[in-house]
Amino acid sequence: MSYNSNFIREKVFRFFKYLLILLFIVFFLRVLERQSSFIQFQVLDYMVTDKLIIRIIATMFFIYYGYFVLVDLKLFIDLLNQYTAKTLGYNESNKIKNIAYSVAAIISLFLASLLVLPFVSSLPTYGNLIASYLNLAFLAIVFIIIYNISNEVYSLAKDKIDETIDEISKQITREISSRTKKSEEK
Amino acid sequence: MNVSTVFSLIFVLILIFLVTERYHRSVAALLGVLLTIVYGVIYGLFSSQNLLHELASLIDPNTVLLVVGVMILAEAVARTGLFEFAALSIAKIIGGDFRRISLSFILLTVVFSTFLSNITSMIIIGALTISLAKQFEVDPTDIILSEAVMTNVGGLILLISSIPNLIVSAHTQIGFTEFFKTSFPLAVLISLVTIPIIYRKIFHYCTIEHEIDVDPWTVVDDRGLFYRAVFVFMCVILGFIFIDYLKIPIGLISIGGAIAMLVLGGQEPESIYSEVDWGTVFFLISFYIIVGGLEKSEVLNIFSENVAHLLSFRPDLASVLNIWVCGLSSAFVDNIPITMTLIPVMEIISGIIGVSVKSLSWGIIYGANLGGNLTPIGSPSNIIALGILKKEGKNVGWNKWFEYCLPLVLMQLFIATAYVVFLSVIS
Repeated sequence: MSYNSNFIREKVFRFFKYLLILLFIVFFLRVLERQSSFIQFQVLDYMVTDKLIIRIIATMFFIYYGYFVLVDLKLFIDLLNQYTAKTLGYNESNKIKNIAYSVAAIISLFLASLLVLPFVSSLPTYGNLIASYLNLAFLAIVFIIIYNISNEVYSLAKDKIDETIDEISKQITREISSRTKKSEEK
Repeated sequence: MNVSTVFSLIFVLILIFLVTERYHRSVAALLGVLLTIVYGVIYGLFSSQNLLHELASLIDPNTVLLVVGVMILAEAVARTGLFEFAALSIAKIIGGDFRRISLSFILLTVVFSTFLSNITSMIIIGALTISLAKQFEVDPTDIILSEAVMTNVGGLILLISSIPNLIVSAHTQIGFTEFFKTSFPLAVLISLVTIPIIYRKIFHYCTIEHEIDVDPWTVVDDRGLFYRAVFVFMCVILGFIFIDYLKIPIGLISIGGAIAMLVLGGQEPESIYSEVDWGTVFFLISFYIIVGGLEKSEVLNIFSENVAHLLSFRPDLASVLNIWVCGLSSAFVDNIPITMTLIPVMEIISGIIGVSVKSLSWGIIYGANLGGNLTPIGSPSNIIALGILKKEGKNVGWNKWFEYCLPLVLMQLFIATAYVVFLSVIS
């Protein structure tokens, strides 16, 4: 699936908007939670405190805005996934080959990190810092590629399961129709 | 990070590139060489001062010369029309029955692939089969597929018939005559079992007799050159047969024959060089270095010790296991890297389980040669066969391949297994 730039811009804006709202609310409620210890009452066997109420409200906000944040985050990962697939030369028709390409990409990254990281970390002053950022970058790319592999494995399994279900349902239909015919003949 | 892990990862990476055909096999192997050198120097397996000398010591010049010589010689001889001449002469002698001609062509594929590369023999026989099928107005699909299957049987006959044979013999000191004496009976046995099945499969072809009105000499442009080519070719074959008496490296005989053919042939050398499969030569040299890296990093040692531990319960099964491991791997990966990796492994295993390398290596040779026909991508001759059929508007997919070729190849592998067991019993 391809997205136009306006759509992506809109999603990026929404992602940051909801992320900021979420952070603000969580921060605000945490501050409030620390200050509060006024209300306390009992409902059946449970003791309800103002802290608990604030936590419930925080959880509700977290679920509401967190949902949108996750939806947009998934979209960004999918976009990165598409870009990675394009870079790795994925072929729509051959999923096993795609998985093999991904494994090759992970091995290549691993070998490259073995080569680059010791060299970068030996640089004076900021060497270690740059090396740790590079390490993080390598890990992030590996995460995207593993996400890619999972997608491919899922779609591969899904195709096979769909095929099997189709085949079973066809056989059942055939069986039922032949039995119906036989009973009609009787 | 452990050096063995790094070199195993490099090997897995190259295998993935070879299986998926992401890059040309020679390019993938050259990438493997680059990684082996870089990480070899980093981990101290190679010294940077003596690097070229150390790399050169990993390559076996005898095998490389043999391969290059055979390739040049086969190309130069094929250009004289010798093989087309032989095929047309046989077709003329046999007469107009298409079934008989088809069978003779299938047998000729075995003979041609004994001396030529599988690709060259498939191209020659495939083109002749198509032109005859057109004359008889029949579908050539089954015949071409049978020929593709039989090219690898021809690869069993002589030491020079396929590259895995050359690599294994160079490592295990199997002589030309010893190779022929051991493998020829198997090739005959496989042909005797396979040909009747193929005959039954092509039984439905028309029996209408056509007069074959082709003079075999029409494919020969220069009779003088033709006779000179036959002479050089025979001399090289005799050189291979009497190698034990001549005491000359087999690679020198091969390259000597190629040079003689270039001198006596009077053909344009540039055009012959351009037809030589340099990709395979680069691939071969590169894999010597990659396997050398695996050896130096102890990967092969660790792998061999584990395999030897598994085999210690039944050492007699080692050759049988070799056939099936090589056969099944050759269905997807080129048989050269498989052979080159397994040979040093077998050298280590033989020391541990007390079975000679020679007896273990027959399994590798038979598996590597026959297994290529399990899938349409397993051997270059299969790809050529499918290409010839596609050109004629016949699209043969994996299903058709499995339906027609898989039973034949599995049967051949079972015969080879029984033969290897027989060899181990009599030795």
